[in-house]
Amino acid sequence: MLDLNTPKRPRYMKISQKSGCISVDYNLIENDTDSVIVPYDDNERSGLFLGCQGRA
Amino acid sequence: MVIAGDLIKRIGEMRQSRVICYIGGDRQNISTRIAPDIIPVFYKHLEQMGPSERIDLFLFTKGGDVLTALRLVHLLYEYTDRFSVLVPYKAYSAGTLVCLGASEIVMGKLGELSPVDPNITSMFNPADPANPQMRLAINVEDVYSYISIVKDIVGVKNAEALAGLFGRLVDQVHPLAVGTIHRTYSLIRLVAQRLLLTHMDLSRRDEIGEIVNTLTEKLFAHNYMISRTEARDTLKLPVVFSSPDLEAVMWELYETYKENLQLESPFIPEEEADMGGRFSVCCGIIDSALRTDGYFFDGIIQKAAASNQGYQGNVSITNQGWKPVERSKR
Repeated sequence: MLDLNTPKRPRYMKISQKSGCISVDYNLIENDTDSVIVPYDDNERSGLFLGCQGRA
Repeated sequence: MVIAGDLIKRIGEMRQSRVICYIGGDRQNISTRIAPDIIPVFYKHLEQMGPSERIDLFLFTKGGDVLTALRLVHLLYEYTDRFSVLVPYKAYSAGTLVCLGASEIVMGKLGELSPVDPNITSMFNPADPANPQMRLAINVEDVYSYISIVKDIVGVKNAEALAGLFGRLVDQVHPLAVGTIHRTYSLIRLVAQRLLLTHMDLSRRDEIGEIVNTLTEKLFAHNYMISRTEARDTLKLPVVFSSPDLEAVMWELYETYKENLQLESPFIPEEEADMGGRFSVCCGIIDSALRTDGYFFDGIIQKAAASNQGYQGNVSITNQGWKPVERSKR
């Protein structure tokens, strides 16, 4: 099983619905019902790696 | 890699033009989209080519950024008054927008355009029921279709009833997402109109409006494939059917890029990495007679301990972007 791991920049943003805090460097927490996660697209770049915009 | 330069040169001789190629690879697991980072790369090619009476853009793409399409067309017109697009196969979505900016669209038998109805994804989109943390993409035209059903098919005219039905929409879709949808609805029309105005006179306003309406809302499916006959006869676009000789060379050039980028086989990092787990893969090409640039992902596979679920590993992308390809390596 391969997992895309690009530690320099994340793939998603996490937004806390309660606090409104936006985090762009996070670890996914199971059963985290507070957060909304959205793709954090780097719209400047052409490349899509494994369906995501790879970060480097 | 096989050299494509001879085929580019042959097309240039047949068309009495300078040819620049954009291949947005659609290989499974690794692909490229039209994005702002292509503009400086095109600039380098065009500066080396210099001004020309006629420039042909050989185009293969499944789409990308709407505004980059407009910027690219404006850049091409800095170097020529006659800009044509050569479409051997797919020129979808933002690729179709680029075609709208061309005074001539040369299509082979397999040439395909598509509607230009965008999807939007923002933090205000509705949650995906299968994964509530993720947001669902909204097709902008779907929202306007809902309003059309209410008004034109159900026949609701009363302002109060319409307000109630609009209220039901914003119960499901965040008001700010609805705002984004409206802005995108307007933007895509504006961009398509501006592209057509690069080679059509304002006096043809009605024709322009009809083309824009058809491509944005009258084809009813984002994956509708528009053939060259439909593009010419129904949409009234300036489509020219390629001659058999030109079509053969265009197809050979497409096949060359398809082989170079391995478009028909999925990218599997383990299969292409060296003994140290490192890989470098090209997934898009901008090419002309004088230079070649490729979009590369460089990465490394870091193997983790085997678990009872089998092999596990991580792929880290160490570098990515457009860079020149040595001619001998093409």
